[in-house]
Amino acid sequence: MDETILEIRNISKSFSGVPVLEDINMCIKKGEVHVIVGENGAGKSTLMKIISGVYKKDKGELFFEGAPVQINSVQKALSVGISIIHQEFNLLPHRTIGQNIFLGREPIKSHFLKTIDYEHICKRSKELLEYLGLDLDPRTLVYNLGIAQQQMVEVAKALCFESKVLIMDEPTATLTRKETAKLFEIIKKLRSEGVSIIYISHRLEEIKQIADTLTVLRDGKVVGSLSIEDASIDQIIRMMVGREIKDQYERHYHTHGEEVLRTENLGAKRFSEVNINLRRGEIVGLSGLVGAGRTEIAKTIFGEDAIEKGSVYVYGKKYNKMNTQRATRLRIGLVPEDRKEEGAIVEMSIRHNIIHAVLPRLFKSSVISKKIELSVASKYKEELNIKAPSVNKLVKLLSGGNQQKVVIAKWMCADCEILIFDEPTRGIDVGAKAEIYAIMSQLVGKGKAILMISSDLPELIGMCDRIYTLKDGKVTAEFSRTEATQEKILAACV
Amino acid sequence: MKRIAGFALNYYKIILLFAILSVSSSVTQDPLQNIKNMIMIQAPFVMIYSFGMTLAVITGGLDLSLGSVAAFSTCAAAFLIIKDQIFLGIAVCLLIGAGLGLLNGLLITKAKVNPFIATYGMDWVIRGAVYIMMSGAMIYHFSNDFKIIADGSFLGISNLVYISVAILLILMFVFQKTVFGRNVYSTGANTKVSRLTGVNTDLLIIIVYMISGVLASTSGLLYVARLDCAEAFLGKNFGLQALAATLIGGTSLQGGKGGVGNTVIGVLIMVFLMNCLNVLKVSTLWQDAVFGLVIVVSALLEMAKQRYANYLQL
Amino acid sequence: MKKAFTVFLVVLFSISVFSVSAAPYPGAVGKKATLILKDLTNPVWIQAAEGAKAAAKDFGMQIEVVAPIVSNNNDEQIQLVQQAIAKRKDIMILTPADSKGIVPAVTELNKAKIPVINLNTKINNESGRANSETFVVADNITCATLCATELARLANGSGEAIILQGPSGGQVTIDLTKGAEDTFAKYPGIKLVDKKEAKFDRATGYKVTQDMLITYPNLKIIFSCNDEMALGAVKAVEEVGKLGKIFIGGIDGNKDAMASIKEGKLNTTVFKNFWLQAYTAVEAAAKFLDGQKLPALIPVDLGIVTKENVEKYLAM
Repeated sequence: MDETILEIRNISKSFSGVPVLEDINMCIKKGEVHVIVGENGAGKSTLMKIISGVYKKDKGELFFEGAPVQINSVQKALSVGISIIHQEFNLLPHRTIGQNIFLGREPIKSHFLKTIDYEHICKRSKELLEYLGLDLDPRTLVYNLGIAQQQMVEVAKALCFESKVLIMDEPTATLTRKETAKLFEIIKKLRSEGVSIIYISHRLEEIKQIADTLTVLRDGKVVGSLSIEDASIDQIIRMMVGREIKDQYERHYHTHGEEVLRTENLGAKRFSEVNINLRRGEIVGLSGLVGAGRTEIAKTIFGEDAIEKGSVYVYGKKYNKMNTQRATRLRIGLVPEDRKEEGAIVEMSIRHNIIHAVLPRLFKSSVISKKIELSVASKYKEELNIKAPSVNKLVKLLSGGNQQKVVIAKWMCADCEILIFDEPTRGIDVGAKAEIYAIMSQLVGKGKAILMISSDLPELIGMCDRIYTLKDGKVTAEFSRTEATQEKILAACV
Repeated sequence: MKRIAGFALNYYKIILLFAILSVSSSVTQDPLQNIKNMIMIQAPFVMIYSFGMTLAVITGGLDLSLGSVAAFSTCAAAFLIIKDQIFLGIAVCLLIGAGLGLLNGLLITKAKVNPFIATYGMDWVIRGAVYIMMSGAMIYHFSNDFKIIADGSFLGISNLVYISVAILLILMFVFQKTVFGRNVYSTGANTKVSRLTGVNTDLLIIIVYMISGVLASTSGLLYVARLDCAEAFLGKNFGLQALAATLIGGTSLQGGKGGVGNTVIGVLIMVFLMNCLNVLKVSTLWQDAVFGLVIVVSALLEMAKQRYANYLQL
Repeated sequence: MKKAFTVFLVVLFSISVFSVSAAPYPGAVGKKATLILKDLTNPVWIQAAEGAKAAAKDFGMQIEVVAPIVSNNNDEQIQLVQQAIAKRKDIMILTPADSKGIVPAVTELNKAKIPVINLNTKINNESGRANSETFVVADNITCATLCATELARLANGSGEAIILQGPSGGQVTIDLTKGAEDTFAKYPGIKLVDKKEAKFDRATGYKVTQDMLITYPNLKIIFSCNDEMALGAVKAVEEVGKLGKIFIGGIDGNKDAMASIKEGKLNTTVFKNFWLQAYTAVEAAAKFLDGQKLPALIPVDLGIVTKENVEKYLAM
């Protein structure tokens, strides 16, 4: 059990002169789950890409089973026995599960004709799927699988390579609670058979359940490795951010103002008969499993999806039809779930994005003044502490947290009264999360109203004045801040 | 070395322009007349309809119907212009251009047809319509009052130059300096985000295709005035030439990048290169190949420019 | 009422009897013919379609005139031939866009026993498997010879010459170029300096001529493979004030070209009389269906149009 399978010695790496990893030392033991945590930009992904042969290291050595190895390509890593499951899967959607598992090394039936032995593929794939507890036909197209099942196909692919080290990059980010539990079972099963798993995660709650050893990275350096029994969540956070976060969810509660938003029997594609309301100075949460209709409700209120039944009241005025132009004119803002595709134009500058929503109001004559634009954008960049050398930097070059701040800045700049936050902290590191919570508190402090959607229950309970729970497109319960507990909310959601 | 590479990547188009120009000038006996031909006559035509393509490409689409729009609108207008209803004719021509652009825009935004398919399909439809309208006839011998638009000059500079520069300046102002222009770029870069920021993206795209249609009609009108003949096959290669000029200029098909200023350079490279091959007495058979090569190489250089932007401190 | 109906029937009967008896080729009456052209957008081909329809009316035949959507597209022409076979037409009049490319389609026609009248551009029958009954032609090589000879006469048999061509590889361009080259070669004083593609259209002809005028300052003759490019060349030459010093000739004889000749700008064109070509082809078809024997070649009169005789052609 204590045998070291992979040793990382003094690895360094820099991109265009900026050091990303400095002198990393780490030991992965045989048959352990080794969790690596760290804020975004701490260097976790880079390190994993070096181990799996995607990037080349600048300095340092790798030892596999005690012998030095040169891993200079993905193929080499695979042949040694190291495979990686990326956050974005490497699957061909229009091929079958079996074809994907054997992609690039299809067994040959006849050496003369080079025909592929599909029977073998089917048989072996079926065995692997069964081993993983999946009742799936290997001839199913990957296109027809859910996210969790696709991930299992990736695992099967890794098993098929007889990998000794399996790297998983945020495997649970898109999984439901149930799917996560299943994944953990499989991880434990693999561990018992001597496979080492390197597991990267943002979800500190999970780590306790699954980890044997924990390594914390910060700013490209190893802060420390410790056994999981010795670590508390607070301690991990402290190691990650290098400072103490006393109360992540810093809220001052205010007396609520008048009602600004109400839905009346609202119904559309994935939900029906939704009645919720929102007052000035409060944060209202929407909780529910993925697919319960939370995002759809947000998009319908904002006018991106059409209202099919019922109506939306904004500042007491009834609307049976809504579109995004009207919503923005009514000072509603949506911070969407998918930051890169729906929140910010990542190919454009911070300045462009911050000023985007306020443009027609800021420049009534329709002619843009670069001076005003710069000063307004810079003001919000300062105010929200967006970490970038200048407002002319492209958003795609920022970290997730800073990208999210740009999206929020866009709506603050447009002076929105009603803000809808859909999973505002997903994939964002702990430090930036706290900043976003602070911004939200500040906004309601100024009398704005916030509708917040989140899968992270502690966050929801910590931030919200009231929480609505949703199940299958219907509101099942409403809890006040004092009533809400994780158990009650979960019970109302499933 | 780094500096030189950076400089070369940044200014390679200008360098290329001068290189081509010096080659063609060195072999002709009358280089001034040659340059005058290219800049005052050949380039303005191509430029105006290429601007239309560039704007469509900025929205993330493209407009392959430029040529047929030019033919249809000018042929319809020619019936009036030949009767000396010049202003009415011009107005009708531009209105038809805008109308056909509107149709393209509606197909793309409301019917959600892919821009390539929409405008390519429309190209056939409109071309068919103009064949039916003209049924083999041509309209020619317009009055001098009309022909002067393209034939005349002021202070020794062709009217074509004034017209194309005026259009260029207006477009640059609208697309660089106004809220409308900014929103067009945002919509091109990411339509969804723009819509979710409260921009009426459908309307913007429709307006851009209308502008594109008007530009196509304008260049068509200038051709008719210059060549003194309105005919159904005008502009059969407008669409692809304009796309080439746009791409060589560096406006990316992804949308939200580039601009009409880039396209000026693209058009000049194209016109200068064609002329250079002609005066070098290169066989026509080779010209298409060279031309295609320039498109591919400029795309590669644009990619290199992006990839090494950081390294070369561009 | 009944009487009126009877009268009507009698009248109808007599009309039909009369028309049949008046037909010069009784064997052709009511027969179905297909005419496949290269294109139905260019004015000359539209004239051809009109000529064919006029002939069909005169000889009591039914005719369908079709052409590829993409002009000069061989594949589409082959499809059109197959459609005609499927419709069991009695006779086919064919104007191939590609002399060699059309051969398989003609072989199919031969197999289906549908007689073929070849019009305008010759079907290549080197293989012996693409037989046609006759070839009706205003021969392109003759056209080019006429035009080039006139240009050489105007230039006093000396000077530099260029040829403006249609899209590379087209049969018309190949034939016309050959005719012009052979003619110019007979004049030791004439030097053919360049051949340039100008896509058969006026705007390109204009632009290419501008470049050519720069490249060859002593240019004397511009031979253009159609009138459109020739008129573009006229515009470019006019702008540098060399009209009268450079001689320009086109082919086809369209209205605009003739008007330009009348004004003294374009020097010459060859009237190919597409209307008459198609009319003659349909007449040949009628003769064949009537059981008459056809000669291997039926030439159609060509006319060289010059400033002196342009009025006559404009009046046609």
